[in-house]
Amino acid sequence: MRQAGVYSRMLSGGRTGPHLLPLARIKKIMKKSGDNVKMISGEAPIVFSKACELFIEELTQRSWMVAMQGKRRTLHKDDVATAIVATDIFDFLVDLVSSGNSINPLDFSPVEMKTVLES
Amino acid sequence: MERGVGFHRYRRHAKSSSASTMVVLPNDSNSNTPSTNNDNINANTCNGDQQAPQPCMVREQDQYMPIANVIRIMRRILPSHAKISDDAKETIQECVSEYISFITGEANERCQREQRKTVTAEDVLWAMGKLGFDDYIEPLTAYLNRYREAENERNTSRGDQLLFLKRGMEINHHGPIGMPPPYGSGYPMGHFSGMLDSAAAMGGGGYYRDMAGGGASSTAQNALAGFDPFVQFK
Repeated sequence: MRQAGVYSRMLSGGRTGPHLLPLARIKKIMKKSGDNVKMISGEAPIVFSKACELFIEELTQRSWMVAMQGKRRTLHKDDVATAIVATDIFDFLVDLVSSGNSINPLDFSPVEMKTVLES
Repeated sequence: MERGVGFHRYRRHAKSSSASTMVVLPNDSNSNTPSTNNDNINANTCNGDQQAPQPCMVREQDQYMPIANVIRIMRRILPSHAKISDDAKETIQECVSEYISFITGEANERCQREQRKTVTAEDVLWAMGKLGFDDYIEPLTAYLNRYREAENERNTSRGDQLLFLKRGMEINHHGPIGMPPPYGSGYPMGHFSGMLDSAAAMGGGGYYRDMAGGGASSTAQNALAGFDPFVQFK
């Protein structure tokens, strides 16, 4: 506990703040990503803790833009799904959000989806 | 409630995990009350027989980032009047885990190609660049460098603190040898009681570093006010 106190004080001094996401949980998810993940350096979960913040922020921002287009103030799963389909780097998430309810990416060309988001 | 492929994928993972906590989801996915799907509370309300198949929906929480943390980050982006539906929260929670797996998979492949056993921070950053998350690399590199600097300073000042204590203890045993350097109560040290234990456990202190410049004293933020081991020499 003492070490954690000194450490987070250090980071607060650097204005990065203590970690928002639990490192042990990140490490667990990393290990489960494949059978052959053997060892993980101590710094890798730390990079992920920040990366996941950036990821959540980006995904939330894009999803919110979709909700605003629909003149809604509540973020729904469909908004997240639409944002994912419209963003190239989120292609790996398409299967995760596809269900009977969300927009079928095959109904739209990538250009059309981009236009929906940017208009 | 249908969750598509992703849910099943995590169920498969869940079967192999030894210590998983089950949380029961409320069926109403449109409520805006904050979810409290944490590991240690909201114990399984499908009571009774844990072995028998449960009719209600369960969700393995240790496969995901804690939802409260995810929501806190989301709220930094959203305007204050915005509301988040429960299914949106859970979807983003799942997406984060998928993101970690995705990047780690690519980083791990690179390690295997280069016949290294440990996935490092550099591998993670490389994988992000390769998979299109270039925009993240610069802020992440800055973050990592700040972390490394903080670690170095912490290790350095701890080393000095251990040596300082060792010298203090030696002086107590053998009587005053000479004037001790003027560290005084301004010397920054962490929680003292903890220090003694670890100093005793570790035996010899860390390396010696010249404190004259006060380089380390400006870095450690928590000074131990009022502590002066040389009080007997005053």
